[in-house]
Amino acid sequence: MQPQIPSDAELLASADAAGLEVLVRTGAQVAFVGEPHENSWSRARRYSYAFWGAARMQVRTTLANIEDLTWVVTEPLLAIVAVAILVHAGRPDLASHALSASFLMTIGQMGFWVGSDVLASERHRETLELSVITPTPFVVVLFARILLISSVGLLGLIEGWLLIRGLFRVPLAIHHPWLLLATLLTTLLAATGTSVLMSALFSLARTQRTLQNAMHGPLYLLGGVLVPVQYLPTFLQPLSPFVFLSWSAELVRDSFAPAEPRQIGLRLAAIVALGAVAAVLALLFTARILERLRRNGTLGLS
Amino acid sequence: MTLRLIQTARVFRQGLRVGWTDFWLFWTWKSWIASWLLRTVCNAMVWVLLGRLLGDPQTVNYLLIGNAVIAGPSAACWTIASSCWDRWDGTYPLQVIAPSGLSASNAGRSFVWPLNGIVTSWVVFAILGFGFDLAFPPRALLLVPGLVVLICLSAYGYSLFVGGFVALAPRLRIMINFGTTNVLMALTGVSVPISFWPGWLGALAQVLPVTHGLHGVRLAFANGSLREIAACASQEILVGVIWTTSSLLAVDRLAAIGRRDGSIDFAG
Repeated sequence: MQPQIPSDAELLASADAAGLEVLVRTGAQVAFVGEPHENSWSRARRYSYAFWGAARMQVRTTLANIEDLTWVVTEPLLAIVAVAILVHAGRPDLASHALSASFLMTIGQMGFWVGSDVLASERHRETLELSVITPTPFVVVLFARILLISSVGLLGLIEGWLLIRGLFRVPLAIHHPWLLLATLLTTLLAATGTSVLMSALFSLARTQRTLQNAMHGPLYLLGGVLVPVQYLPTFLQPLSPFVFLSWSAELVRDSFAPAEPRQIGLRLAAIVALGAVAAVLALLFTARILERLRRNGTLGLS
Repeated sequence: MTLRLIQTARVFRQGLRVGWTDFWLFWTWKSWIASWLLRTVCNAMVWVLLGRLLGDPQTVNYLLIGNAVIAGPSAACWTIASSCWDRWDGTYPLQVIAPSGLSASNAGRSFVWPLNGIVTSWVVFAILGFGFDLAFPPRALLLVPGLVVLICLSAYGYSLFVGGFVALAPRLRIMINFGTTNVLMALTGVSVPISFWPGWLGALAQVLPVTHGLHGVRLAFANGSLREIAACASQEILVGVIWTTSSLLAVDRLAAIGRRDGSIDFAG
């Protein structure tokens, strides 16, 4: 059976309904121009398709590149150093401090170091142009990939726990498992949002390594990942609540303390809110930065 | 023999020039202070604050001295990661086949890292010492800067040796770089006395860089006898010489493995 060729009038009507204009028609071949109307459902489907595609791609990339897993190996080692100090000082009861450091520094390094590399390395490999010209915003791809990278950082908690239990025989009981789980999830989201923002901002820099280095120390110090914020010098303390790590660190430590934790909802909300602010800024900045790179013709040049 | 030494020294000097230029392409004075130094000071400070959490001024001082010293060797350990950089530049095969061999040029290229370490450690000492009211007795003021130089150089020798192996597996360079630093932090008396660890780990610490030099630094702060400090310094030198010699023996042989199996090009 011959495919039915629509008449000119039918074609114009259906193009109009989709928000397109017919540019040229030769027999059965038609070229359209314009931005198609799209309902929010089909756009969501398209975005989620891109999201999962990017996530799958990141799984393969990470599995193929052992370099991405550097921090999962090195950061938990610091838990050994920390617990050694605590045990030597006769305070093994503070071991949860070492655990929060192991967890937050691993997830932080995965996000702030490996994750924040994503945009710059796409640019370096000259694959950014192809991603940017697709109709789906590149930030969707960034979120998917960095979420995956950051989630590898959750291993830091398990490793830290095994090291502390295995090497030092320090009992480290989880008193509030649901709180711990909620903290892990919110921290993962906040780390992802923050890292996407960094990824976008760093891609503009001449050497993103300089900036990554600059993040490394201050965030962990202000975040109180090992030592609670009240032990910081007084002039630094007011900055800590703006670092999501400071909320996460306290909640991780509380999950391992027998005492009933207080104001859980508020504290978890603080992590989510800080992550959301970073994510919104990331959404705004990524589009602008990519636009700027396109205008300057430096999208593919590192 | 003399001619050979002069040639090697020249290759080393040229390598140093490349490393130096590379370093200042990456860092400027401003970014060095705002990024590298900030990061190092913050990291050291976290550990000193752990002492404050434990509520013992002696622990604070112990951790301060240990972490101000280890800032130097940590920087010198970048030698491990940078052993692979020539691969990406495409100059690695050329160095391997050059008549002077890889070790002199690689050592020269990496020498900027212990220099960076020495300056870093000095500055971290000054900042943290001032910030946490560490008392500097005259003996410490005189001897510690020199001991830090020895420690950074022996860590450099050690890193050259490890770097020779890492050049066979470039993807592991950062992992081994930071892994080594963390092991040094744990075992060499930076955070807890060596006696804290089981005997075999204590024995391992004796052949690692930092251990003896750091002990000397602690003695200098405690106004220990000059003879003992000198003994620590010479042990640190000995450890450094052993590792540097081993690296000279190993690096070219390890590169020859890559030459045989054809893996010394860009890939890794």
